[in-house]
Amino acid sequence: MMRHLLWKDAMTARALLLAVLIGILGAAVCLVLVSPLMNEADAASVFVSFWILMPNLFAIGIPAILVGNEEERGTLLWLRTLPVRWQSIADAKLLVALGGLVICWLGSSLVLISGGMLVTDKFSPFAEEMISLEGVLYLACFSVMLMLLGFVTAYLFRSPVAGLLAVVPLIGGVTYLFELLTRWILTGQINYGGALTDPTFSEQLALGVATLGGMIFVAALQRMLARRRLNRMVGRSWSKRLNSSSTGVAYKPPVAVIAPRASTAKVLVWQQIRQCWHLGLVILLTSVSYMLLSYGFRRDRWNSSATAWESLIPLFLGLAAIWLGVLVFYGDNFKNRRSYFADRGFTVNVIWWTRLSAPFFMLVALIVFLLVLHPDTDTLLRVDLHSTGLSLAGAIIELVTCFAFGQLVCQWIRRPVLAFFAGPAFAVIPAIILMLFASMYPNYAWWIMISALVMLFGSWQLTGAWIENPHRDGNNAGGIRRCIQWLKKPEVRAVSYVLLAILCPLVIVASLRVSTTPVLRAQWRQRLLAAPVPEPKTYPNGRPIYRNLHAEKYSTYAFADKSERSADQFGADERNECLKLLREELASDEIGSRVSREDIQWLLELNTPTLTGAENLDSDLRLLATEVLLDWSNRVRQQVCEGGMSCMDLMFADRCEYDASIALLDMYDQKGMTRPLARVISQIPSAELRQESRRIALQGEWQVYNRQSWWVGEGKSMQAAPKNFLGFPVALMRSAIPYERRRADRNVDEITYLLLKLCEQPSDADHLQFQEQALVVWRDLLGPRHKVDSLPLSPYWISTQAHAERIDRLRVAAQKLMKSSEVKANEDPEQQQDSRESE
Amino acid sequence: MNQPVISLQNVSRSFRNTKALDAVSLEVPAGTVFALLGENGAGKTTLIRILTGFLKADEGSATVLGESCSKSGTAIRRKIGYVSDNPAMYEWMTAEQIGWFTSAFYEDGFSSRYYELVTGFDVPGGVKLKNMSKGQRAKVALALSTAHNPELLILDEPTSGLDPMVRRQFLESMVDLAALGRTVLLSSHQISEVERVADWVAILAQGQLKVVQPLEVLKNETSIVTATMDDSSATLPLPPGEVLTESQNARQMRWVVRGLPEDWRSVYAGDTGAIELKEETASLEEIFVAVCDPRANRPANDSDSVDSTMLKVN
Repeated sequence: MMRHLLWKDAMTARALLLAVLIGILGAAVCLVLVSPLMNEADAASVFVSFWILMPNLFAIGIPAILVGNEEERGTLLWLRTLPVRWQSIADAKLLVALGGLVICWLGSSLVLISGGMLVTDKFSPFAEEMISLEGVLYLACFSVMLMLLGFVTAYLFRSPVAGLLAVVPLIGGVTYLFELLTRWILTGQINYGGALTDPTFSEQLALGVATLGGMIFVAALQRMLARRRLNRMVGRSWSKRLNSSSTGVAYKPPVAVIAPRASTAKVLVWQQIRQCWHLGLVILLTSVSYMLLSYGFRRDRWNSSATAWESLIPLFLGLAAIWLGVLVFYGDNFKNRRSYFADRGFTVNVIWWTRLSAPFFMLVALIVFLLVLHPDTDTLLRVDLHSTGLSLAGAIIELVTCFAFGQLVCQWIRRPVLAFFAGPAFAVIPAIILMLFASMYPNYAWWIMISALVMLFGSWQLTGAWIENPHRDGNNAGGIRRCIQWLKKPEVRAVSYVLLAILCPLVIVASLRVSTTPVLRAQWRQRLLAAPVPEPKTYPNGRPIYRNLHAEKYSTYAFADKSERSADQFGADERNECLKLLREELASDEIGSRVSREDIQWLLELNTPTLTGAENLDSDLRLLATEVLLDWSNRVRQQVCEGGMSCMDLMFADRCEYDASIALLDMYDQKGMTRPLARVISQIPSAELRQESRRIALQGEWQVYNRQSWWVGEGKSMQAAPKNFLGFPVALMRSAIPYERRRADRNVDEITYLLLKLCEQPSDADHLQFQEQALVVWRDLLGPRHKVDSLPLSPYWISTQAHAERIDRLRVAAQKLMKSSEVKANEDPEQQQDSRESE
Repeated sequence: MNQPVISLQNVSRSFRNTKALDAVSLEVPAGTVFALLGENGAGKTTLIRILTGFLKADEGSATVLGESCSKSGTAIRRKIGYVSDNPAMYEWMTAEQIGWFTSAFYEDGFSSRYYELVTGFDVPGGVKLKNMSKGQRAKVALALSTAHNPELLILDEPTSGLDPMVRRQFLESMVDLAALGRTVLLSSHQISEVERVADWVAILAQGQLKVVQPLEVLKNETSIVTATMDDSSATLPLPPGEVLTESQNARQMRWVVRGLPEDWRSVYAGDTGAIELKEETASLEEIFVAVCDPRANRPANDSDSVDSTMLKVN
């Protein structure tokens, strides 16, 4: 007899088991395919997450299928008429559920772990913790507990869906209690807020005993409820017992006058609300409770699981949205009630949108609750989808898409209870693909809404077939006709719509990306490839000669201690020391060997008029400091022209020149042009040197970029990796996609072209245009993860116009002075002698 | 002559290797109660599902109220009243609620007619359908399908599982509808009840249409001839006419015969071995068994066999 009961329950559980195993396999295939787009640690974490998720989906669903489904079909009642003990019935269900759970865990482990190992050797700490012995034990206990709680609610509630929904807060409560217990065992305090240390053997034993005790308690509870459900006499309900009189009413009056006729839409909406409001309310309340709890925990510093709870909110809300979607057709699938519409030839359109009405309204309510309950409204309301964490925009995209998926699945899987579990199981595959898409293209994430529209369109198209429930048995047609008939099956069409929904945003965005890829500047590329870039000079051992740039390191000299002092505290000894160091720096081959750029900047800032009570240091010191800056600028530029220094080094030269020009102009404005000042001005790098060095540096950078490969590693570990340009990685997260690689290459060409144009000092209008274009290209090149407000090599390359004007002004003033000095010297030889001596 | 309300021409339908309907042709005249009889699995429900557009015929054509069943199933179902063998209803609704709900899909007048019908059927008010008895639910289903005054009512085994009183009520309401000029197509295997109300009868057996005739004509034309023999081993000639079945029980031979002539006794005149001859009108049930029973003994006739000549359509 037991064998027969086991067989019967196994047949019942088969569909859910199959759905979960298909979900596992599908998830593994998807993850293996998309893992090249992720880094290894993330890929491992995702694999492990699905390894945990899928069997627990089975655990949560199987009690509702085995008990609730049988209750709905009336077969449980029929079983009770047979000479079979209630214990046998309950045991068979429990054994089948356990067996199925073990199969799911084994299948999940085999497929997902193997798949994970195929793509990565590295595991994140989370993954390693989960696949350790303790982790596996914890997960096994969690799954079994989840399953047992499922049986508790399945025996408690007649409606399988109510039983399913009741499990969610129950497992949350049990997990919370377990956490409190763990804290108490390990620390002696329930509200201990610090990190927990590894438990000792006795603490582990205590935890194990507590866990086992909890599981035994829940098992006993479900046993007791099974006895109550399977063994009791059906009597009057407690509510009727409360209200009963001694006898029933012998005569029931006939039907009262029917209410006035209403519109078709109104009655259909009324009917839909009536049949799904209670389940929708449970879903909403459960979601709201979870949000309240999670956001409430954030305020309790002692609860270290707050982050974990809160991080699961998107998953939880997604599940709630899927279930709200399932509600769309659930009520009419129940006992095949949709045939009511078929028998009367009602129109498809009005039935479709009225099915959607109430659950969609509940979805909107869920979003409103999120808006109200989220503690950080500014973060929630941000428009950009780049940053991590839940945003309202992201929530809308996720929830509407999940809802659309749920309602299509419910049409396709016509067993109403199974749809609640199969929905999340099958959602795994499209979720992985669309989430990856959203992380790669957050700027295009709104296109995912197309998926929702496609799925809603699909359900509208399939509503006619759903209502009429066409006969499933095919006739004896063979060959192509049979194939066509198979393709017309509602299930096949529903799956096709899901596939289309996944593909649509991918194809649209790919088309947009391809169509907006900059055109190839073939001739320009040829010229630039052919342009000679000086090879760096090296010593015989290959070490480059020009590695003498040390000036960006922080100061280690005597100046550093003066950073907090003002100019009036600068004594004569210190002045002389500064002068000595500056002169030594000018004489040195190494840039920054005696002073750093920080030192120079500090010196120059000491002279700013804003310092209270400060008198300017003598102009010699300032002038010498400025001269050092210009010397650095010249040398670096020359080294760039001779090869061996990069754009990054050139930025140093630009900055030095910029700071020097500002300081020189300040000195000129304060005290007018003097001969020493004019001498230093003459050391400002020429425009030709400036342009030439920039051109060569950028060219060299571009050529280095083009020599890089998109592929790193060898053999099995070869994968696409972003290339670098101007110190930034390009096509981050997208380098595995061919059209993105091509787009990145073209964008690098564009940005190089535009930066070179900016070097040539174009007119104001052109300058602005090039700058704007370059910024757009640069943003696209770096991708959405970087917040880009300015161009690379900014601001010095961009403000060339202002910088050039400043230098021109100084040079003109200096030249004027030199000319007038020459004239006077020609007139007075003694004055000429004096001026030479002073120089 | 009125156009037939339902017309089938050589309709066939198979499910995998099973031929559910085999070249069925019939026409249902307007204003009649047309009974479609057949044992379980004969093809009645399949035929009805083809008429209501739920199934497509593999071959042949079918029309209802002038509309093609394969192309206009939804439109047909909107016009007719249809009660399936297991009508789907929203069991959480009461009779009033489901009447109000359904009234939105039909014209004005539905509510009042529905109210009359459920009151006449004594359907209790304020009780959810799931708490009603099977008979009460069947009455509600019938009321819903007739309250919009359809020209054609198709009922697929509507009295299955109902008590005799409810069955009688049902069937009498069919007669009332027919009297008002409506057409009722009723499928059943409750022969004795159908016999009381049907105007026309069609008998389906193993997917084939064996008989289509007005009931009275069919009964008048079919007789049961019983001959008592002097010896159980005697061989008697077949009576004249079309012998549908022959059976022997000790010294009695029994034939179900169609088209028995007035002078049929002359065949047994003389020393044929028959010592007693009786003739009686066959009931519909006897006709049905004679037509459908696969184990029945069907002697070869001079005229055509049962399989090909039973179809008589006026």
